[in-house]
Amino acid sequence: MASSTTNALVVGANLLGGLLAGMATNKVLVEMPAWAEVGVLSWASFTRAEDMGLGLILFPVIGGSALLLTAAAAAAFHFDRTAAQSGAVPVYAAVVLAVAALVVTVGLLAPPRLSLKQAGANVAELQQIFASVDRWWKVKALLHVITFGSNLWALVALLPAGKGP
Amino acid sequence: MRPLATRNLLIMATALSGLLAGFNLDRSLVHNAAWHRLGASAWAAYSLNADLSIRAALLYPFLGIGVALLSVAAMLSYRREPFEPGLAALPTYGGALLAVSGLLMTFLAGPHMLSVPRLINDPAGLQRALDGFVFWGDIRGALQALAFVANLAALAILLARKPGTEIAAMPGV
Repeated sequence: MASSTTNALVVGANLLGGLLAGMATNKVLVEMPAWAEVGVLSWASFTRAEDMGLGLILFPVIGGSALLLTAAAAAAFHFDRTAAQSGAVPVYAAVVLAVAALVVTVGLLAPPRLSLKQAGANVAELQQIFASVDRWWKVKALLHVITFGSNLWALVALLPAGKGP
Repeated sequence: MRPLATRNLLIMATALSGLLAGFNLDRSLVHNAAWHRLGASAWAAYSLNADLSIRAALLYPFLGIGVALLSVAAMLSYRREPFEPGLAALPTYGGALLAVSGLLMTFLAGPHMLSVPRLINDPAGLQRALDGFVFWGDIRGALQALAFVANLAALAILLARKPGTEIAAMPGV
């Protein structure tokens, strides 16, 4: 059985990772297809309105915290001599996937997203931005969902009953 | 039921309730504030293509009903397992109660959303629909988010049970 620190970090990573995966999934499966039909001008207005509230900080706070907990869980697992080695694959995979999601967010999704202000009401430019944001949200959401799945697998693998009767 | 049935049901309930909790968090903390800034007409135009689309009609009931069914099934399985740790009782029962309560809130939030097509040319009616949907939707969201926390807690407690207490390992069971 893994130490209580490792277990607590994996539970925390699951908690925030689940929320993050849900937020990203809804964005990709419902929100972006709806905005594609409503139009990019309305999408830009909504996105700017989102940014005036919690929108600009909620994702980074939850995403950053989930990444930190996932990385901390992997570090704790690495130094935890009592942890079941069957947990290695999901624990380390979760970190790799979470870092990949961060790279996609910072390097590929954030630049077009932040260029919304400059685009103003230029429909052609907004359409390009929307297409780029939509594409990278799909990649990001997939990574968040697989990360959540890995963290859930890690939880089952690390705790004793996960080995089976 | 097999000894691992409760755990397997809780794993599935946790996975789905995590996604549902994330949906609700985004809606309650981010979307609703934006809609109050943009107005009910903008909300209605979006909702016709989002919540009232075929995508949402498939996805939201799948998650809402799925989480409630899995949480209740996990609770029933837990009740049949005399050797499961008693500490898991509160989150297991709580998870089922919260998930079902969250699902029932749909009967109060849903009519506001379903009234949007009828009220599309009635700004005052749309505003009432938005206010009603946000009010009941936030309560539903809080219940479903708490159901995720309860399911995850129940799963962690059941998994953390000390080895050697499995039913399958006990003679005559």
